[in-house]
Amino acid sequence: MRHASVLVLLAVSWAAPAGAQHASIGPAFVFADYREVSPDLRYEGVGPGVIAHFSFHSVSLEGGAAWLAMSPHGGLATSGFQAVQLDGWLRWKATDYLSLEAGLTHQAPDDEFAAQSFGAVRIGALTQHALGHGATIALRGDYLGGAHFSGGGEAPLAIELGLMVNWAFSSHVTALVDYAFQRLDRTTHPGGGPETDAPLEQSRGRMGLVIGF
Amino acid sequence: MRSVLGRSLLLMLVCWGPLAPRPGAAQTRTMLRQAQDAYDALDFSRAAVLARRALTERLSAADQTRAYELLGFSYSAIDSQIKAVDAFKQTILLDPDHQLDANKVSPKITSLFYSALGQVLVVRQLRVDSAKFVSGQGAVAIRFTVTSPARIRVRAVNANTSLAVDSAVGTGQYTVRWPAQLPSGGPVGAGTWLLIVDATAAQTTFSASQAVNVSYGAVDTLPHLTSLPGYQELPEIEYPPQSWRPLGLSFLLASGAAVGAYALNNGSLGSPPTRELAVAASAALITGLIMTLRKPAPRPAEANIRYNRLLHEQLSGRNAEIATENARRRQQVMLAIVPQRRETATR
Repeated sequence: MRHASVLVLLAVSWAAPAGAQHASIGPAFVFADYREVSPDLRYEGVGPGVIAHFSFHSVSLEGGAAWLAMSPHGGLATSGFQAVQLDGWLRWKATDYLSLEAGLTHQAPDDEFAAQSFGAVRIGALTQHALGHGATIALRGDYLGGAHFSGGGEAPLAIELGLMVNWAFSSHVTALVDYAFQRLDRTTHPGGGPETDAPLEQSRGRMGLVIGF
Repeated sequence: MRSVLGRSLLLMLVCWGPLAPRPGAAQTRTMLRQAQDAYDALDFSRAAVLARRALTERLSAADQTRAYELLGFSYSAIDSQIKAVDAFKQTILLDPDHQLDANKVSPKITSLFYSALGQVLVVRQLRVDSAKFVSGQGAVAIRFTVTSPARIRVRAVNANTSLAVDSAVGTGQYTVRWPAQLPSGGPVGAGTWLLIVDATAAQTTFSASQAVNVSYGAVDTLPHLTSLPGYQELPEIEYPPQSWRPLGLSFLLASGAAVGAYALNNGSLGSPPTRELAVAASAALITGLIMTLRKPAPRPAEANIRYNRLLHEQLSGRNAEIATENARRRQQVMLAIVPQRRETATR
């Protein structure tokens, strides 16, 4: 069934006029800040990433992956960790200025004792504006629902805020810079005891250059 | 000896006979000139006698006409009105288009001439205009005057066709239009056609005719339009005026992100991280500033595009009409009708 859906999507995409679809992919430089539980557990890191984008009429699909080397930044943490950050968005451009989006976010550190592995579904909206000469700016806000953590617990309040700037130098080359801020108010019940706050925040910047087809 | 003399006299008489002076053409013309001289010298009786004498000889039509006119003038001058009218009638019958110059001829003579005109049946001053028209959409005018009440019939005749153009009963000036069409509706054949006006009254019939050349030509077609007169296409791209909007938007959204990040920051985790936000906000502001300073990007002028589309539709419609009209015109014939030099009159 899933294969059939993919085939149908590919067939529709192939049959559509060239101007109706656009695909791009390119490398990115990612830098991030991660904090958990208290100001003393803070990490910063950088790493390579990749960005892919596909649009078909008013629907677009965007995905990003980053491999981050996180290091302690002040506080009590003594060792860093490697993390893989995966993000995906499915957007529908409702008007010239407003899009609705849904997607996934997932972070997987190699050392789950150093940081939480977590994932969530995002749903939200994005407002985009043309600045001229192929440049656009967008601000987005999402609710992160269904968050689950490797250390257990839940996050009834989990939100994400983003700022994106794109500049298409030509029909094939686009530079982009984006920022995402995630707040997850995680609570746990250690040992079946009372509810304990274990919040986490992540701030991520990304600079990339994508080639369009 | 006597017989020799008699034979000689007889021979002289035989030989003299043909050589005896007889009034020839030159003599007759001299007589006509003498009649004119007598008239000019106000010797009207002598002018009438000389003119009458000239008319007993063989004269050309023009000289005959002139002699009768001189006779009419002379009789008018000596108050022989009936004779004057008779003379003018002959003048008119010989030359139906004959006219008196009102500036040179006395009103008395002119009135007698018109009196004569009313007593004869002729078709005068038959004129056919030159015309050029699309077959079925025009006609050539035939003008003539009938001097007495008569039944009038106008015909167009060529080698093997005779077409009735018009008919009437009356007198006076007429203008008849000939569409140069066959009864089937098609154009008449190219070539020479004779337009004949018959006037019949009792036993008298007078006919006048005018030959015309009919030739075919192609009807001019209309050129296709590349633009509508008075209407010009408008530019479909326009440059918006330079403004601070890009920088303002960048500032607004970057501020929104910053304010949001600070507002959403969980205080229990310390102050919010600034490095990532600063990089993205700086990129947004720099981009906004560049876009503000650059010449604004062209954008489609929707109103102009709609106007041009409307203009193209109008142009296409007009050209389609022209194409239809040209297709119709290519099946038509342009007739050119030119009268030949002179009509003839017969009685």
